Amino acid sequence: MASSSDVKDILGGGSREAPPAESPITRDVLLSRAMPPPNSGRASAAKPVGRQPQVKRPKGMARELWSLISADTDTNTLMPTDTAYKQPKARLGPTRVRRWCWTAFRNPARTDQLELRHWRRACDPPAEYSFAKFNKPPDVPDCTEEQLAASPALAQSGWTEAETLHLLELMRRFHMRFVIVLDRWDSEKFGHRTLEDLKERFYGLCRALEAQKAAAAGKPPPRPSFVYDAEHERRRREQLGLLLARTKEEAAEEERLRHELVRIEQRRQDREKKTVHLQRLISQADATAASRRTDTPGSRRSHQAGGGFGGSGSGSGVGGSARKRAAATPSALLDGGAGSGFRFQDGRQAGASLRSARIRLPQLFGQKKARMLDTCLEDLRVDTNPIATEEVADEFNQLRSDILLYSELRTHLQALDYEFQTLKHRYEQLSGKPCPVHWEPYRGRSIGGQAPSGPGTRNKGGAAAAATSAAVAAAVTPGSAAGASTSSSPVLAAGPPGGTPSPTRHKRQAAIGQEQMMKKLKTVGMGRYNVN
Amino acid sequence: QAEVVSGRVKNASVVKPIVYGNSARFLGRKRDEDGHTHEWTVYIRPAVNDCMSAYVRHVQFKLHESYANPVRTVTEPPYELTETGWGEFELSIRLVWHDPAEKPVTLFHLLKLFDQRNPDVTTGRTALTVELYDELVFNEPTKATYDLLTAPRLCRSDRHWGSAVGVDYAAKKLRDLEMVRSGRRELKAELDLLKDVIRKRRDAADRLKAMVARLEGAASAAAGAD
Repeated sequence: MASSSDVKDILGGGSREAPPAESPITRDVLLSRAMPPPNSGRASAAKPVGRQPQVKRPKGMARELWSLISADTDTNTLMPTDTAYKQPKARLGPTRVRRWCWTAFRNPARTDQLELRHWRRACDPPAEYSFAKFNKPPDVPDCTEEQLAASPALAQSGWTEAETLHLLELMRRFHMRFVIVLDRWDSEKFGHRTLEDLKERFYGLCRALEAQKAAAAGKPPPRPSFVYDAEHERRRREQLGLLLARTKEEAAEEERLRHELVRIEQRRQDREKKTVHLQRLISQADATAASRRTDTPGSRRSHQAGGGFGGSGSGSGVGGSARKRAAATPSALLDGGAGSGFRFQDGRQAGASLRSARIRLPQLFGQKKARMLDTCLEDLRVDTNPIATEEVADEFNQLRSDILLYSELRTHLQALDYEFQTLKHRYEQLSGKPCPVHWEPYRGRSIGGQAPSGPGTRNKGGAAAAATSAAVAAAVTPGSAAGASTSSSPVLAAGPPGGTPSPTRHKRQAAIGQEQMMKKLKTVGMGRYNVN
Repeated sequence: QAEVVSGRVKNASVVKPIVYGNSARFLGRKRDEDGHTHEWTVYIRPAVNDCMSAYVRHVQFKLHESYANPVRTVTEPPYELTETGWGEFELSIRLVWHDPAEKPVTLFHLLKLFDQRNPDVTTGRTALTVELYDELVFNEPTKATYDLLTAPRLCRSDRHWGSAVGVDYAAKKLRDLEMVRSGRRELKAELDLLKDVIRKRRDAADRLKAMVARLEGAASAAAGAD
């Protein structure tokens, strides 16, 4: 709702007389319009008087509401006017409008004398059509039918003279736009042609003509600026067509295969890295063993003290000569004793500490590896938490580093097996004969649920194998389960000691209980161990 | 006499065997005022008759935060603490030495209250006891500590030392040692077998690799001749 005073406010001073429109607008008139002289408008002078309110608007009341109820409001509202525009024509610029006239013109690009009309300013001097400068005639060679018939160099198998001329004509007409040429190709008369056919013919003809011209002038033929390989282009188009015509499933399949390839490559690299790592470990272990053999029993203790984790790994006592010797005899690498360069807290620093800290696994020890250690220990019927005395702690750490070595060797065995399978396949592919190399079977026990490696047993239910071996271990060692004497160090006792089974013993009993369930698995597993 | 370097006795190592653990007994019912069901005692004591108060200033038992004053300090033997509760938790036992230059040692113990497999324990007829054996190792102790450690003092009561459940740890040590050794022997045999197989297989793989390489060479030569 707007009262007339609002409208006045918005319009900023009400109607002002526009200057007379007879003469063209001059600079002075414009300036005087932009800056009205003082007191030129009635409203600006009258406003302070008319707007003097008798009662002031209470604070917080909306202006619109106040203007409705206050006595000050004038009752005039905005009304439509039936009058037309005051000025018959809009004034848009500072000068008068120049005249335009509807004139005829000719485009020099046209050869058919076509006359068209367009608007031009009357004051502009008559000139050539301004867009004529964009007229670029195509550089299509001229060639007559006799010329084509006379020279065998210009001919191409499968193309008649008439067809060639048709092509040249179309090229000229459509400014060498091949796609349009193909579209307008007279296929009724000349039969179907592909884009590559057209291009091949055209570029071939151009080159031949140039060579002919050069020969006529007695010059050597010019080097072709570019060569059109029609065969290649056809193949390329076909390939792109196939790529576009793939279904969604085919595309997904291809993507999957690509990923698979990347993964296989990754695995191969991993395997190689592991092999190198293992080689190093083995040679290290060998060096340790060699140096230990030379040690006297008396000095051995100090050696162990330096080496951490039961004196294994790269202790300070490992001399360079021992290392060299190990490297010199690669066949003897596997003779090493304890392996893995693992360091447990050695408890040799000054101050008070607990013995059990020596057999605690380091903080950064992987959880998976720790589980593997536990499983192996259980398979060997060794408690995972033996009593913490010096001798036991040392032996226990040695045992665990042996287990780590064992695990790495098992992995290596599998890698070797994999490598062998690949080589065997390659050999049989190349020679067409069965592989003559004897592959040594492995008849070892599977400690810690490591699936035995051999042809045909790879990657078959690792979890099942682990469960099986656990059950087997439990089944073949009832003595250990019954012997509460070898229970773990936390002694649970109610009343008389030994009355309550230890947690480990309970675990074993549970394993025995599972034996029935595992029976089938077990037989399968045992059968597998005896295969090779 | 041992050599002393910067306050520490060089090349000396003193070992003090200890046992620690807890006993617990079912109260028979759930107590109305706080819902506690068990009374338990956590303890640490020497495994032999050698009083710990000679070198231990005090023992701090740190209980679960839900207990009022969760850190309880015991300054006199027996170093034990009796409380009631309804749940199991891991508490820490901190041994502080007389000599402040020696760093305190902290043990962790999982308080055990329940044993589902033993009905006597469940009904509260007998107490449940969990005990662990460990050894305190003082490597190059300070002179003061060394003197305290090497001057044995007998416990005032026979109930202040030794296993609370009468376990013979000397025998257990021998058993555990034999257990670990037999495990090592077993693994050694397994390792030898494994190494042998790996060696043979590696030779076989090398031979086969050479054969494949020869074949591939011949194949590429044939391809080159075409």
